[in-house]
Amino acid sequence: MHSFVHRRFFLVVLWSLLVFLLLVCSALAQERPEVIIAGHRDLVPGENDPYYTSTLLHVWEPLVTRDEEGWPAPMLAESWEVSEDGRVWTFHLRRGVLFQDLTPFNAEAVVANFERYRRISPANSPFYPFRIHETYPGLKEVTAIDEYTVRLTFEEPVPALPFLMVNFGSAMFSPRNFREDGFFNGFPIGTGPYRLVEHKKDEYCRLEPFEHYWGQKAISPIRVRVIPQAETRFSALKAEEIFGVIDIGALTPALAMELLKDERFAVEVSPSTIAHYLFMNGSRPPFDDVRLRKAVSLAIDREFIVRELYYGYGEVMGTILSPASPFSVPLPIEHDLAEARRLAKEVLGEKRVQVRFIFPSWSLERYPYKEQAEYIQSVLRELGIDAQIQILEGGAFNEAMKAGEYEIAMRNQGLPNAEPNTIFTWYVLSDGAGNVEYHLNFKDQEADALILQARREMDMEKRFQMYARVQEIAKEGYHWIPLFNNVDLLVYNKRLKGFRSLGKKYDVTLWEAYLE
Amino acid sequence: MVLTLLGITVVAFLLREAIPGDPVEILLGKEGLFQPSPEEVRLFRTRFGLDRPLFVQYFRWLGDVLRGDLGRSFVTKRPVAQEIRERLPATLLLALAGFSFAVLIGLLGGVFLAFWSGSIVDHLVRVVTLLFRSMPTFFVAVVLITLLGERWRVFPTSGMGSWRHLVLPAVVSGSGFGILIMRLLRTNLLQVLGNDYILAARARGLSAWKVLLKHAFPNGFVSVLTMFGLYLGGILGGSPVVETIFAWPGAGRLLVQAIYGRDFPLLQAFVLVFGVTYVAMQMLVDVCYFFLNPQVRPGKRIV
Repeated sequence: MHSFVHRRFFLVVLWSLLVFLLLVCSALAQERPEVIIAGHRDLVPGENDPYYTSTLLHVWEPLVTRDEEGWPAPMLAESWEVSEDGRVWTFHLRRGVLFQDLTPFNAEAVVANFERYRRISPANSPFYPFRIHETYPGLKEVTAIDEYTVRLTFEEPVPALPFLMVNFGSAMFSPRNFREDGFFNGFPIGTGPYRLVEHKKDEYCRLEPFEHYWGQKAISPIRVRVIPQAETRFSALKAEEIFGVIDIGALTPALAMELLKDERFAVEVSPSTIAHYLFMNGSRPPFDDVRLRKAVSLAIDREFIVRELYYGYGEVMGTILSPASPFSVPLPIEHDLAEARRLAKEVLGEKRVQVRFIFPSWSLERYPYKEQAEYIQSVLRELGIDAQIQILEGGAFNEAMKAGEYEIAMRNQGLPNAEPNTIFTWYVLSDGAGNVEYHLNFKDQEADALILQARREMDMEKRFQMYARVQEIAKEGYHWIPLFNNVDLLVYNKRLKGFRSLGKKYDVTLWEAYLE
Repeated sequence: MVLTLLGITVVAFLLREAIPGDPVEILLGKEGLFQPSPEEVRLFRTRFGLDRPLFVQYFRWLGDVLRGDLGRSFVTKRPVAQEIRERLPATLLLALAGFSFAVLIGLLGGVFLAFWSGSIVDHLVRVVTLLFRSMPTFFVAVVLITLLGERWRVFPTSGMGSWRHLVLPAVVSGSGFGILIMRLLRTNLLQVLGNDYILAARARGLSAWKVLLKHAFPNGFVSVLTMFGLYLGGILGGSPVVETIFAWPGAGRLLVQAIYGRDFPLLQAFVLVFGVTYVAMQMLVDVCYFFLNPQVRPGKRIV
């Protein structure tokens, strides 16, 4: 009797275990539900774009990426080294990587991609234009040394090459993916954790996990919808039609705060490579006097703007270089209204001046620029400067800046790559395109010499010092006044798990995302 | 007719001169975020023939148009005819849904308000519709999305897919026009109802509804038909505001993108296609007029 009971108990336990195992297996075998997220623009510009999709979708991968602190980091290139003269760079490729058409990723594929770069450059894109002479200045030849080693040879030293190559600078696609003109002959075939399987322009795209991905495999299929209006994205989140938002300007701070009142939602803060600035027309009175430009900078309370208009989501800046750059130095953030008044009085005396304060209308879709401009207008009034705010359509705004028909222009500026020399060349170099075209009129011989020297400086520490000094000089010029660095607010439904921002990488962990 | 069409081509082409901002700088410079090199600017101009004198560009473009080639988009590099063709079905669907909704509420409402003219219902409906019509489209759309999409989840907030996706954008795009028809038809019917032949019809003992629908409506409807022509003429342009708010992938959104991005080949093609459609629709309405209104037929005198 005793053994019978034991046997029955044993059988019940065994059956229970079997049923449990079956349930677990069937649950595992079920496909993960599609994760639906949205952005304000189509992240798939298509076959005539140099990259086909945004890096955010993880369809393709670059040789070099950016780590969470903004430094160049290995991706498809595991490591690299440079010759002593800075002219020859050798890249060691990751092994065991397949393109999504199952072609192996190797040195031959890298050479084919560089041949493509030559054919398509210069190529325009909604993300970053591709210009081979800027990313690979003076590139002479690209050679496959062995199956997993590639050598790039340059005419002149290129000490900052990995900084120029991050993400969009070194996107890799299957060699069978190109037309004769170098653009795409079909959907993109990269090495990323996702395959693009469907795209309806300006409507949505669908991504499916690539089962032979070399790294951590993606969990769920993803649908990225295009919802241009921020208010509609807000409602779609509330109605649980979408579960998260991505990309720059994902949601305005005010809408994000409103959503966070609802306990179903959380936010991931993604530091942006975009910062906000005032461009000062230094080619004519009254801002041809550096004291008055400094007065404007001192009068503005950047903390107030970030706290009151951006709900604390923003990083105030004392330097012209966005904190997203690893070369950015934390220069002091000055706010001294009394000193600003004194300087303004020194220049203007008792008289008041009228100035034209412009900003582009497209900025209103993402940022509270109207309120920001009104705040700045109010502090300028205290300095004896009466600013007339004008919101101009994008094209008209650019024309006004180029014609010098403004005194103050407010606009954001992105970092085109991780190498700050590009941006210093535009806005700090005496004959830099932006400096001249926008009538900033900044001239400094020391800064000019440093910018040109840094282009060939092999020693990273010395280059860092040079860039730090350039930032100090540029700050004292007050021709390009930094306000604060932007952050993107990626609001998501808490049912969406694994949705994380990756710091200064300008990326989210889509491959880890799944719906609970 | 030929002169009108030629005029449309000239206007379409000269748009690039009228709109501020150099398209090359805007396209390559991405709103000033990048600095295109002079070499790049030169290459772009050469590639799209922008380095030639304006009249040469115009006649080349006109020649291409007559051969059925509307050019390639500056932005996507795809043929603009293909770009527009891909968007038209969505726009037409939304426009027809909006139009049907407008006609439905316009005609029904107009007739009912005329029938119950002066009653409390008439006053109430007129006040409510006036208020509704005074509200900006954007506001009406946001209110409907918030209530019917977000709160009660009756309809999706945005996108295209099932018939349910069509309801809110169609209501928003058609309601303004529907209210206009309703008020116009009511006024027309009340005017017509004061005529002697209506009195004669009533004297013959016809019912009030029969008098209204059979004798007053055909006359009251003629001027409403002109409104149909105006509405249908602009149908291909879609409604950029409604399409943007509801994330509807139609031609209106494409038009907005073309304007902001200074995608002139696309913009020119839009103006041309819309212009031709508008002229065609007006002609169609004139033909309908011919059949519906004997007064406009040549050689016919109505005593």
